[in-house]
Amino acid sequence: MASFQKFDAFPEAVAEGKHDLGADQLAVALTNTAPQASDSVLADITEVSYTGLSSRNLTTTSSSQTSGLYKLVVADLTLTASGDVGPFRYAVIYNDTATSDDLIGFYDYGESITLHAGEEFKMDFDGTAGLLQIEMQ
Amino acid sequence: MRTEEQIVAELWAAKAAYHESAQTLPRAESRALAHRVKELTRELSDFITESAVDCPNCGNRPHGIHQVGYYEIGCLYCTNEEGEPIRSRGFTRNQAVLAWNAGEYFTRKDK
Repeated sequence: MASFQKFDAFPEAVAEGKHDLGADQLAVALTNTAPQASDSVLADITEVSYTGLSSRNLTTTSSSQTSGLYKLVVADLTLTASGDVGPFRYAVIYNDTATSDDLIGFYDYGESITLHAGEEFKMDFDGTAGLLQIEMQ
Repeated sequence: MRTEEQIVAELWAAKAAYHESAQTLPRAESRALAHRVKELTRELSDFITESAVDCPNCGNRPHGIHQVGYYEIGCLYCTNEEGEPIRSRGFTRNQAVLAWNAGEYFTRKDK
């Protein structure tokens, strides 16, 4: 799995209550245009067409802290195409419940990918380390 | 006792209700619905890990995930001596629990 990079606005959005990560519907947006760290809402992202693509919703399985370390854990997501989708190089995680679809972070897969009918793209999230961790410093 | 399908169905319904309320109501007013989503999320993990022993390393209750095609049980709180997550997998929930209880852990190298 490519490394996760957060958007600069995410910590502030968390602090100001824009996210309820344990309940909000998180989703994946695909783009072939490099996201900027300064992007903050989904409207900042140039998305590909999702015609013929399966659900991009993530399934949150745990949102909890231990000894001050918060972890958000989500199940793996398999995107299945029934027609051409892409090309895309970046998978952006955003909050579909937040009123502005606030951005969380993104993965860079290093090269552009096009899915053809019947092909799958698996996002293999770490089931124990989580999608993201938050710890006060 | 409820089945996994029943819990999942209620979870999806609760998520839909919460998502809709969050679009139209102040967040404070949709908090009860968000709380229900979290309760059901926990219930689903507890269902998956039923009969699983606590983590032998740290003593915490393990976490359960129904991934696409398999079940995974792991500890969210600690790692082994090599810094690897402690987790087990099975094609069924029962297989994952048995593997976890037997200490048959899956590592990143096994992927």
